[in-house]
Amino acid sequence: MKSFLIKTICFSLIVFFLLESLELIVTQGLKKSTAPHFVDWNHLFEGEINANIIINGSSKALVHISSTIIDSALNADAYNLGVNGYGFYLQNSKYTAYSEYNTPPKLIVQVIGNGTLQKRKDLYQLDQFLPYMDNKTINKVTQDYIGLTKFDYYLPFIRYFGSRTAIKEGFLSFFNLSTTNDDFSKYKGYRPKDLEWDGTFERFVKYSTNGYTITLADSSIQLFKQFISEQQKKGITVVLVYPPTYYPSQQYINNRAKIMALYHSIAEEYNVPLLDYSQELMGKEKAYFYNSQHLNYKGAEIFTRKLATDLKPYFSKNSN
Amino acid sequence: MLFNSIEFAIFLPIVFLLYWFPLKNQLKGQNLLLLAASYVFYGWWDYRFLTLIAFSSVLDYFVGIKIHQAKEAIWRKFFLYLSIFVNLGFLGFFKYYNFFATSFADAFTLLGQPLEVERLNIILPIGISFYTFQTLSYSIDIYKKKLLPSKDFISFAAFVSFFPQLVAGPIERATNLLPQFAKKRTFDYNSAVDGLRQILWGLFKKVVIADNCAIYANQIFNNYLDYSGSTLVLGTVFFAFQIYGDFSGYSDMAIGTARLFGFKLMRNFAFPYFSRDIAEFWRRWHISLTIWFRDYLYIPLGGSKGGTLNKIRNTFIIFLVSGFWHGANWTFIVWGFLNACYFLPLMLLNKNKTHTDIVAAGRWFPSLLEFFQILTTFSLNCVAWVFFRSDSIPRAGVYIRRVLTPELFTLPKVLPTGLLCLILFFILIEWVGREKEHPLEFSPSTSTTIGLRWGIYLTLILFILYFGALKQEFIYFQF
Repeated sequence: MKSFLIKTICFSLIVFFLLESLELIVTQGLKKSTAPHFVDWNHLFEGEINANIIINGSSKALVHISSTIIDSALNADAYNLGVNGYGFYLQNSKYTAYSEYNTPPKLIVQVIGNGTLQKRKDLYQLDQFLPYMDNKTINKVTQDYIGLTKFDYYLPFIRYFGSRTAIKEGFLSFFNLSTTNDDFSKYKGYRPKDLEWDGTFERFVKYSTNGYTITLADSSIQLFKQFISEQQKKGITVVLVYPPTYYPSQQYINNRAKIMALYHSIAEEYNVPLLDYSQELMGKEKAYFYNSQHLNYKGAEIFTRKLATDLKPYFSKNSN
Repeated sequence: MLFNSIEFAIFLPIVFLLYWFPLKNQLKGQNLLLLAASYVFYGWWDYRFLTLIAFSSVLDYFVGIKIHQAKEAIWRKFFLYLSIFVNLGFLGFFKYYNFFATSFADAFTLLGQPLEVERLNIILPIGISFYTFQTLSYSIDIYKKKLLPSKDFISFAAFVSFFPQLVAGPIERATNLLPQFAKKRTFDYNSAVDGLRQILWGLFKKVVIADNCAIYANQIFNNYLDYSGSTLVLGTVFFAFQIYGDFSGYSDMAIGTARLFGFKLMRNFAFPYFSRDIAEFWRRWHISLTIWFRDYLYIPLGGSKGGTLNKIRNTFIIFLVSGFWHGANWTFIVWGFLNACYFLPLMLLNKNKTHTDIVAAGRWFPSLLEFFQILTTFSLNCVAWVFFRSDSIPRAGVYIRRVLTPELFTLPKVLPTGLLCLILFFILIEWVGREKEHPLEFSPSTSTTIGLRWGIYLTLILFILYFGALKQEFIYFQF
């Protein structure tokens, strides 16, 4: 028994040392990675963004609004903080993390959509958070979703279990061998999708003729209001932007009118502008979309130019 | 609690240390600890169903004593039937109620008398099919006077709920496992170390092979109308390795865990995909269930004695019941039926015991004939697995029809080369280790150095960390 215990303890120590080493290599590697999932977070935590216009939102911000077009139109320094697949609860956390390490913007373009005030349960695209568990905001917000267990926060490397892409990228980046190179300065957080219409909407219509109803989370509504109020107190202008969606898809969201009414009432309550592009003509053209909810590259560039023009009064007013 | 969870990685050493240190040499204390640990292990999933296990334990404990004490045959039979009725009653209610209700209604509809039957929203207690069969074996063996009833309730309750094999087997026979609770256990270094190796190998099979295969098997089976030909063939191959890795991985972990506590559980898998015919496959696949059905169903029915018709009847009964044991769906019954059809010619030609040895024993490679036999047996299995995996018989039929298209001879649309390499690596390791209990077994006389052995263990751990797919439950829990 003594021999068994000694050998088991020795082996466990070796495994622990191995896990600690992997934790160090992969986490440090990812923190200097330029791969798409990590590059934005890395610049954010390094305090290298310091934009005067922040575009905040979900994929509807991420793939729709070109920071560089905004820059040239407004003579600004914009950055797109869009986070794919998440509602306002996580968008707020990303902005909070941004504001901890970077200078505050003068204008926040808060992109809204039907699902902004929804709260998903799972940690979508979990890999992007894994290297930043030492950050309080990320640590806390990830605990509010299903995806990581309490052991993932305390035991070394366990949270990377099965995250093959992250492990490989972290390892290669640690030894400066990664070939993934995201052009950070070119896009500044914006991730256009140069894709054609994918037909998912037609498939959806075929099987879901009754449409669907979006459940809004009260906590997200309160947080959203609190966010606007806090930014106003700090002297930061907030503009709400509802980008174009493929027009025929709107009828399938049963409570869309209610959601829009809520946004309008919040805008009115806090006296913030709401730029609603949901009825724009481009929303009727499939050529500008790759699915019913997202503009493709061509559509996004056209939309951002229009948006930049419409944002001028708010940005110039703010800088004076 | 899942074997492939951090919770279990904490739970196991705690129970192990309590078992071998404060309770060393205290048989009753050790049994009590195992009982408590087993209830914690099971209750971690859903504590409400502990009442079922506790009830079965109490009932069968007293039934066992009563069968033994009864002087008249009628009372012995009465208590045996009581045990069978209650245990199968629970199983029937939780697992088969909705199936029978729906099938009954369908039958009436077919006869032109539509019938409304209420389906119940029943949660299936995990492992109910396993522990029910285990407790039944106890009552039947006492009735057959092969076993004396236990007079120690703690030992008996620990036997019924023994956590390593409680939820997915091996289905232990009371004659093998129960006496081990009554004997003083001494710590055996070699057995414990080999137990740990077997746990590691089982974990590898589960999280690297089964869980990765599950991703592609699910993708292909859930969207089978989008694929045809070779892609669907690949889907069945992935499922074949998923179910093997999942179930035999669990068995390995169960056997390994039991060895840490000084128990020897029966072998449940013996490299079944290297079988040269279906009869050999069934001697190597889910051995504990096959033996259970052989002893408690096939032999009482007359086995292979009697005329040809009797043999055919008994073969079909045992395979159909085995299919039904797996799940309340006609697909499982068809799976059993297909296996009976595969098995029957061998039995009728008296060739069902041709391959009782290890394939290509002492050789590196199989002969061409052996290779062909292995491939044929595996292919037949894959056809049957299509029914096992499909939601309904018509879907399985369409799946098979879509295989038989010109695309059968083109490259699959889903071709995860990394996973295929992993499967090949896995087959290679199993082939090399097929003459042992499990591939990681190193006999004390083996000349491998500790450095090499530990290197192998660490490599497997790295494989698990890197290739492990996200946390998934074991398939056989649902049975």
